[in-house]
Amino acid sequence: MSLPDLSALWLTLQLALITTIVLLIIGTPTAWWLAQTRSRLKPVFEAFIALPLVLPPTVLGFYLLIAMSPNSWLGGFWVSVTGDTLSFSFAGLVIGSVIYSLPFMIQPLQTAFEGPVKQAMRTAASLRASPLDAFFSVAVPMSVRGFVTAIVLSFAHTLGEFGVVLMVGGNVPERTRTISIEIYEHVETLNYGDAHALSAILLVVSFLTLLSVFMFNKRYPAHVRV
Amino acid sequence: MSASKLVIATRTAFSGFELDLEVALPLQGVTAIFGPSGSGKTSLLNVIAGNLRARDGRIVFGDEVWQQANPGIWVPPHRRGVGLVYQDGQLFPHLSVLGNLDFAAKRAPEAGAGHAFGDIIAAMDLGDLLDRDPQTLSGGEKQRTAIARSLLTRPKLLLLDEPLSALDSARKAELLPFLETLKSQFAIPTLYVSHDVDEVSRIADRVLMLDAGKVAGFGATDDVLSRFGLEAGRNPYENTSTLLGIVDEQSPGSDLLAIRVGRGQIWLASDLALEPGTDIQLKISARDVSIATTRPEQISIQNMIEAEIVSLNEAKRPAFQTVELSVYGQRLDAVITRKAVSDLALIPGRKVYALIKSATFHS
Repeated sequence: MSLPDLSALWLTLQLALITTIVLLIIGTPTAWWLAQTRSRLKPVFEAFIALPLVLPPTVLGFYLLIAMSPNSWLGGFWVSVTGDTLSFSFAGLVIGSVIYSLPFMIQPLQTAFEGPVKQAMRTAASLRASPLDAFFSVAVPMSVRGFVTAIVLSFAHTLGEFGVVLMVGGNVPERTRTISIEIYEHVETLNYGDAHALSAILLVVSFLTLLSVFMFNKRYPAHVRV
Repeated sequence: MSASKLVIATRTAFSGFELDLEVALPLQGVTAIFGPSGSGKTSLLNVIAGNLRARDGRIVFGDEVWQQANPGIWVPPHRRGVGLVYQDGQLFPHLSVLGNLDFAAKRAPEAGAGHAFGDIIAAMDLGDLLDRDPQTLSGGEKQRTAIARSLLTRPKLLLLDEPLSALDSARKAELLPFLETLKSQFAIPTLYVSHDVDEVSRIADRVLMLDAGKVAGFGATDDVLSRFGLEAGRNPYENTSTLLGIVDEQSPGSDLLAIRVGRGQIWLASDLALEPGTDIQLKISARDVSIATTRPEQISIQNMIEAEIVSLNEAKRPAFQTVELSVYGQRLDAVITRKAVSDLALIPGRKVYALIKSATFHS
């Protein structure tokens, strides 16, 4: 059995990595805000962020596809800036994946930022630490577990996504053909050998990713007693 | 400096309770903030520290305005130079004892007088604890670390929020000398929240007495404590209920007052002469309340009122239980023996008679 074309695997890893970095940048302040706010709109935001957990990926993908079409304002804006369409592009996939994996980044972080971290921030202020200083010197180290869980879940969830990618990205080799789509393709064309090989790779990568989190959480104390 | 004061004027409702006071506290020595649970002591500390933002507040520390409505001034907590030591120490769990102390030392202002790191470690006797994880410390060790950590930031004002309340009495006795050292060696103006007369009379130069968010008294420690009939060794707020009533009548030629509480009436001895219709507060210690399941027949017992048992709870001593009663909707606690609870078959929902041996009156 020859090794199948692995370009889909690299594309998928790139997508998962970039998605996770983007999520970390936008998810951290969002989770912080949700943990601190007393706004009456908080449940509305929470429900909105949790939507990808319950919506069929095809529904999410359908709306994203419409938003990204060159006729919409987002898609049209993208075309005017980059000269390329957002739908069926790698950038479109990143946007889709970020939305699709949003709850996996925000929920563990929000949980970590609630509880003892709040009081620790007040304590830090009484020790002359500014809010930004206290965030990095107290809140982040006290929330290490939350960060590890959020990063790994977002990464792993993006690795396995299928529906959103298919709707938004189509199936363009080297650009939007991720591993799950490649596997689907192989099965459709009865190429079970390659489907087996790629599935096994994805299975092992996913398992090792999750194993690393659970081992980390076991070895590394939470530092937070609830 | 001795003339400087901390001025606090606020009238703000926080979740179901109003802090309504205007005081000028001398920035010298130790001022105890004293009062029962829920009187606003901790809220006041948080307003001073900037953790709670009183909507209508004015706080002036010496010649620095920390909070003012018009023109609006708000100094954020980390710029006030207030060291707030919490009940349980609140050490950072991700840092060692030394790490916690360094955290504070690194953020201390360069300028200004301050005690050396080594002096503070020695004064709080932390030399052997520096490598420890905060979770492995005893309650007293946590508090000493927390106090040292606050001192290391060179605070202009130290706020201690019931630093002994999480400790048992042996540990309290251990920590008290450190608080006295703190006062004599470091001379930082300190506000000390407590509801323990013993602590206050040992440490405080003056007392600010709070009740229901208002100033009930302010002055030198001995004066205030004696004015309120508080002597060391007795903890008036350990378990005291307040019943609100209206004076019904004063029996002629005697010192008995009939007081209406809800639809019930109770006769109590009082040397106050009060007009019928006067609103009155009865403060009743749980130890002065006993319970009968049938109406006692003796004519001499008039100091009783109908009540309903709400719940049975653990008391401080194992032989006793605290019985929470409802007297026409108002809460009254009684402490009685476990044996009496089972002999009388007291259960929540049962109608009983509360016998009140004594009460103090506030009109």
